Amino acid sequence: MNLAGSLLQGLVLLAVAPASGWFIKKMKAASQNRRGPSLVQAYADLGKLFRKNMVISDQASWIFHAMPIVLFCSTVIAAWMIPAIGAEPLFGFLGDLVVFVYFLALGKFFLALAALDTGTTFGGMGSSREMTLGSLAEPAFLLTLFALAYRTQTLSLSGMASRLSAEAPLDGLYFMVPAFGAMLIVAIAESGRIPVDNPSTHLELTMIHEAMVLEYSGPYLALIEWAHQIKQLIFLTLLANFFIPSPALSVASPAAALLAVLIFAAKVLSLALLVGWIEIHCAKLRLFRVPDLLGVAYALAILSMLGQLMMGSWQ
Amino acid sequence: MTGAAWMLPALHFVAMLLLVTSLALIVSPQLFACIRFYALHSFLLALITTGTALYHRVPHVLIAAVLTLVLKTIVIPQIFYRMIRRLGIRRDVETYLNIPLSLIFSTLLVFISFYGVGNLRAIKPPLSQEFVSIAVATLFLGMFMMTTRKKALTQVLGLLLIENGLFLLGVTTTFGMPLLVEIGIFFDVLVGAIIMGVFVFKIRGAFEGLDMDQLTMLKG
Repeated sequence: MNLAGSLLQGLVLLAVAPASGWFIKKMKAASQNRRGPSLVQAYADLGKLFRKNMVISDQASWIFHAMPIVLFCSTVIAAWMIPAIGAEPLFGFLGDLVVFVYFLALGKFFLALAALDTGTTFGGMGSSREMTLGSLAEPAFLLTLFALAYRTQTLSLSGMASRLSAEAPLDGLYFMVPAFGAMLIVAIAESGRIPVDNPSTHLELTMIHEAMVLEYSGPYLALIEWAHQIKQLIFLTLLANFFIPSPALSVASPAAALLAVLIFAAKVLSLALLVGWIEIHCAKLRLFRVPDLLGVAYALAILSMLGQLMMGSWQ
Repeated sequence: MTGAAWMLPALHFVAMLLLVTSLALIVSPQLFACIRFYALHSFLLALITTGTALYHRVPHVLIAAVLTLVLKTIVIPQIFYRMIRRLGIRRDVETYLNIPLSLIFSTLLVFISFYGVGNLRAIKPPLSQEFVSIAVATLFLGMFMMTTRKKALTQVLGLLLIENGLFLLGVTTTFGMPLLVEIGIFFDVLVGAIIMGVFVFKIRGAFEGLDMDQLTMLKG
């Protein structure tokens, strides 16, 4: 039963990932007086890509073929390591937050490598940008997680989530708010949303993620896009389970599971609303200004950590 | 003689926001945003002052809180706005350091003040010790802002940041000075801001700009 619940939770995460991206897209469309795509479209796009044939450069090496699979698998493993709806995460036994962060980094590494593989100019540009931003976002992300781990005295992600939600809301506010700010900035940077990267552009000079996957088509592209959506959902889920307090959830009975799913959906949708709101109200930053933004995330993470060391330690 | 239990965590939160606002003041690239952040900083300071007054039941500190609210969040920013309008200066801030570098330095300064003050067992403040370190951090950040800015106007903002830090130190360690002295200090700050304004005008009149680099030409 327990295993079945965990497996179901993992599959639900994979299934709703395109929907979370669709929600932000729809919200953005509504703000521009457009109708936006329907929910079915998010899945139809993936289905269409899966059915298509692939065009592969004859210069491509094995890295080109391995990347979509490595990226997808590492992202799925990372997704199955985080506490999501209420069941025990399926791969929770695999390791702590460091392993989680580096599973995400493994996918990113292969993505950048495959973009260099075919030797196109845009691929090289995209991967150099992705690596630059990634090297700035990763310390901020790790430091935020460590700040939260210091408070909860555990490195396991599900332990952190359960202890953070058990915290008295007012007592934790002083370190949670900076940590939330830091993690939100990292989430936006890592999922390639607007102040950092524009997911809907195909303008050569600004794109980061799109530039790297330009050579891909068909099922490979579908896997990459799906992995990207799952990664976005991972960050939303982490934010939701760490920073939005909620009662302890379980999937022991069908009624409890339904409640847990509803609460999870509400938390993730409210965060998606926040991300969409930022996307509507911000212009894309110039690439050379993005390190400033990530520097802010880094400073906030340090403040969250320092605040915990200081506040109330001398009475 | 202490207040409700929920007040101390709330004060911690406001103190944290104060620190974040100081950092925002240092890194924000636009002059108007800087002034707005200064107003926010002073507003949070007034909140902390009010909290201290209520938590320890020292009503005369409330007057200092009201004075902070009126003078530093409303009057002094207005003086700055008028000054900028009359000077017609460019709206962006020029610094010697870029934003990531100044963020790193400022977090380092916060770190130093936290650890430096943590060992100062001589100070036994009635409110817990972290406000002392936050006050010292604000002081350091103000000094940092004064040394890294090119323009006179933002250097004045750095000076006001230092003053805010001193006020926070005074309020949280000793419940403020006697009221007469406190009012005198507020008057000083106000007059100081006005005199700085006149000074800035004079600098521009003499040097055709507010760039402090040009003052080094005065050296023999």
